[in-house]
Amino acid sequence: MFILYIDPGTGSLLFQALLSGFLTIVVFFKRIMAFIKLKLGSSKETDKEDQEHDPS
Amino acid sequence: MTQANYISYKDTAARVVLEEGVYYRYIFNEYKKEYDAFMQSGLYEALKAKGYLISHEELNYEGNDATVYKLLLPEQIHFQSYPFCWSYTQWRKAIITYLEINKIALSYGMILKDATPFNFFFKEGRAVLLDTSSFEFFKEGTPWLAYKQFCAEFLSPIALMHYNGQIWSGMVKANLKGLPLNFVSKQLPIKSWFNLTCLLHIHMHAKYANTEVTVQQENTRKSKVQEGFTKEKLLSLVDMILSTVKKWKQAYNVNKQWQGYYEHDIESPIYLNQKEEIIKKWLSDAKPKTVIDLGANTGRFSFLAAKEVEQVIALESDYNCVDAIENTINKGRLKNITVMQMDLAETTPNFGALEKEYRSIFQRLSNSHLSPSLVMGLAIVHHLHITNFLSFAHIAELFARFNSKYLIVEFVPIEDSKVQLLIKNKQKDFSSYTQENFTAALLKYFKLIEVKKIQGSKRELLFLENIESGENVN
Repeated sequence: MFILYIDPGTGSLLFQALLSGFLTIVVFFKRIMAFIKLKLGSSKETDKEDQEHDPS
Repeated sequence: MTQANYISYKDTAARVVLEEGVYYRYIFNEYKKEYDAFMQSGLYEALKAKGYLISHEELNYEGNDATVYKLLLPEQIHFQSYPFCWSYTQWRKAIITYLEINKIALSYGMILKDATPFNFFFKEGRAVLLDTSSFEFFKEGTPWLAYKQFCAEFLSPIALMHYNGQIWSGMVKANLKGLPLNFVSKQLPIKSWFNLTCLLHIHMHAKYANTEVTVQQENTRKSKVQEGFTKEKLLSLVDMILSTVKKWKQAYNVNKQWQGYYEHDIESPIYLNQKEEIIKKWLSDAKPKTVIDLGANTGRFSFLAAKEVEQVIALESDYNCVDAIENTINKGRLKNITVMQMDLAETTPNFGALEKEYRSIFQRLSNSHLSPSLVMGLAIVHHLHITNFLSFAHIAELFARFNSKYLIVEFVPIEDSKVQLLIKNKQKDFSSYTQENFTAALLKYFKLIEVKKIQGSKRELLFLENIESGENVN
């Protein structure tokens, strides 16, 4: 069957290119948030969730 | 290294070899740069300190294979449970550990090149990566090569379990390379489309995963420079998935059959106390290194055994009970209990490439590092015989297949209310269901040491020793 000759990773790589575009926006807003936090002088507190999880 | 490679045949960077009961890892020259960077950058130490990665020591390689760069003696794993036997909590630990490892690796300029849960084992209640040669350099702007594998082999099972129930863990056995994303997308409920992680990495990803691409389109794609991720973007991506998985605290619960068994359903406290006393006494007499608790339920007797012996491996058919035990392990920070899902009438066979890649449960539990072991089969004989139709001869052979030195087994007689409940709708003659017949079947493999009646019930406990302990009956 023709479909068996499709590289199974190709579609995923195409999708990652789109995902990268989406992440550009995410990272942009993250930077703005980080900048605002820095200006307000509030150092980011440790996320409670992080402490909860630590797989230890 | 002339022997055939079944364990690590997919890896070109290294090879795992079992020699006289000891696992070694050979690192090949082609992985020299990555291995040196991994060791010298501090990444290995950082991961080891967190308990995320198996430790190893470097040995002097005295062979004459020019392709070998280093010979490693990894910390020996005496028992590994495979992912389809993991409960939801165990899957959650493994995926979180995988993502945390990637975050740390990225800060050292490296990344995991594959994403298979089979590369993890559980040690002291933690998920630990066992593949030292899985790291490669991260290049800015390149795609995450393990992304599809991660979505198929890690994210899909946990999403299916979270939305549809833990039984989806067992489905991993049906497709070791991960369930196809379009199939997973169809199984997930509509509400998963409103979860950004599921929407992006499963549903939308599935639309592209099987895209037909011509050579021309592929070349156009390759000519684009910025098609992958910067480190910052990839960290955001990992963080996004990590935060979702951390919020998914529980699996959807479809069956609560066994939970609360001891609290609500047991005959009398006298029965439980007496049973505990007898088992404690026999464990201190036999002094096994390992206890294999078959049909562990919510782990009451696994936890009791864990106080007496070095290591307990608990097998239970109900994923909810496995999860309950895993949660108790977490809460109590218990280090010497490993629990896994296993239906004793459908035990895991040898499977994978040529049926030699992954080993059967009997082979894994017959490991000499676990011996002398003691098999504990408490109140399971009636389930195996009546519900699963195994004869006493089958059950005796099943117990013997673990190659344990001792066996403690509880026989629940026909007049017991639990047995009556099981046989109520079975149109079958159970007159041969007697302790005499059961003991006779056991005597083919074991010799009887002691029989004790448990007060507060008509049940009896049998303590036996394997006639040919240590010899292989597999």
